[in-house]
Amino acid sequence: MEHKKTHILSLKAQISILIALIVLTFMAIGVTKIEMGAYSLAVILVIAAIQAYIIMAYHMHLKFESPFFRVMVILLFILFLAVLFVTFLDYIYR
Amino acid sequence: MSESIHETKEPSYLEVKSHKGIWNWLLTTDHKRIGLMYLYAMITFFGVGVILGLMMKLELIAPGKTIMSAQTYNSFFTLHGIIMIFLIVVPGLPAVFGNFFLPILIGAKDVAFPKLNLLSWYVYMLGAVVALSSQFLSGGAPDTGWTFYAPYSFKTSTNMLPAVLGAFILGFSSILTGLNFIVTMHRLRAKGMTWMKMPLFPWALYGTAWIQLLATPIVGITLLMVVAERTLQIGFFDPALGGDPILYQHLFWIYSHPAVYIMILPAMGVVSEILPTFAQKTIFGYKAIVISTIAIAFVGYFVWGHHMFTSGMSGVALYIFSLLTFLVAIPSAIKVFNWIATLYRGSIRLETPFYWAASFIFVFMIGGLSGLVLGSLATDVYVHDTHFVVAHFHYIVFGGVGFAFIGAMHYWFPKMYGRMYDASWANIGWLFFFIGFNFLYMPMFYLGILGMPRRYFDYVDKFHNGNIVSTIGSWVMVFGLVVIVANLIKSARSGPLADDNPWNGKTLEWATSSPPPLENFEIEPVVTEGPYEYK
Repeated sequence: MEHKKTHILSLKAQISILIALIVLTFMAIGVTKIEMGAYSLAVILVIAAIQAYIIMAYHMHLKFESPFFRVMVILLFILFLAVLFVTFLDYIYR
Repeated sequence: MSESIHETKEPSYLEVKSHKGIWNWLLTTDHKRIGLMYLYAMITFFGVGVILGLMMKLELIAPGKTIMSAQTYNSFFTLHGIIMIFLIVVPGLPAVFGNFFLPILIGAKDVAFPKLNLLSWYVYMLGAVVALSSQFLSGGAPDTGWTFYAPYSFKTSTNMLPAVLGAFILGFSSILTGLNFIVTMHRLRAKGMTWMKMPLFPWALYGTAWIQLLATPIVGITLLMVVAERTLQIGFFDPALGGDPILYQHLFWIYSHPAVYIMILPAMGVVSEILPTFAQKTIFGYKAIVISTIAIAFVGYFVWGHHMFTSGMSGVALYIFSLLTFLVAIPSAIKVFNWIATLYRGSIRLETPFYWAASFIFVFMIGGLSGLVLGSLATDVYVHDTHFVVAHFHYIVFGGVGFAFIGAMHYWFPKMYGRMYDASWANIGWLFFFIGFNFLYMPMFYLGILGMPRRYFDYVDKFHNGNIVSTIGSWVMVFGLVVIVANLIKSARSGPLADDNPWNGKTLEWATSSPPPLENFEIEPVVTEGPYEYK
């Protein structure tokens, strides 16, 4: 059970990530002010997905981990999508 | 199972005093002491839950008002459910026996994050206090049932917020424990202990931990949505605000059905430990049990809709959920087959833990097969929200987790306290409990088929006989429980000293002293063979 050396982000990188997350948050708020109908929700979800990716990649160190952990996270997303799919079998066919 | 393990002369974990007085417990990071702290807290809460259940059964001994009003009865079954589900059966086996035995069973000194482990206990206690405060604050005790269904949960004027927030906080404790166990099993297994040499109780905890980690946040968010609905009038679930009450049921059961597997998987793990020891025989189909454990954990994610067959879901969803529910029966049945096959031609020792494990199989089979009645669309519509569901639920949850918990207590008691209990009293306690349990819950199947609805404090005369039998059964069962608890408490203090391996078990906990030293083993164990290699 060997431990890999912990990857430590530089201060500059951490501040850049923080700024990116704040900007994306304001973008998500800004989108609600623009009339895009049903597309607003899609745009907000895309922005939220980008934020989630940044957090997982850098704060949760997935970018620096072995492929094993990345595969596990992908499997969890597949599980999540499967749960959504089953839920929507109700909403679509109700 | 291992080499290089010698009898230790180190002081036991109970003799090591790292702090003064009560702080020796409250500041401990030893997984064994933390397991015992969970145990004592849960026994206390369980006592309250049992008393509430007894009072409810007493109310139902005759039609009409007997000892309490309808509103009090509503509050009693709500509190009974909150205590039993959120404080006992969901955290129960992992928090108590997982904490105490997981590191020992895999040959580790402690869990991966001991301080996080202690924090989990404090979070658990905080959640318990917040949830139980709902009973005593002005506004009245919650009356929605433990499921907090919309629209009740945002319409009721009772103390819903503390109850929901308490459940939310308890979820964090569950997540932290699950995370701790996963990392512990990935990182701290003894030298030579490959995944396929790991005992089955840790395997069950592994499957459970993933459910805890992945499903619990969903109910956390759902309960926060209820809080937002009540306080900010956001229309998640209220149709008047544009919400959908069935969405609440989806979100609640996406967690709460896997939670049934959080409860039952560790119970199955306990039975898989007890049976080979008392049959003195290698467990039949080790790999099949491991695979079925993971299969139950995985398929269990997709069967939540069977709680909602009468909610107004789409027909397509109904068929899919019914099919998936039947699928989950397959790995459960594989386990039962393997347990029975383990006993076949074994050298069976009729000791108390064996009685509990064998009776677990009996009640679990009744609970599981009655579950197929509920998983089938046509029959579910007929018995939905009747006493049949209450009977099925208690056969699975109380019969499953309860029998496994008490069985585990008798199996591992010599290791935990270094003392033996009085076997005669333990067997008498089991007998009364087993008989009382069946008299308590079996009539409920009959009452449910006759049409008696659940959660009513009154009923028509034709249900009277079944309720009398059921109430008397509750007295017999509680008598057995009192005998069991009294015997264990007395034995923990003054029972005869136990051998290191009183049952001739093969897993690692039996290779160290009773009770174990602070770091579990004097010499780090090296595993050379499977966990149940009886010659």
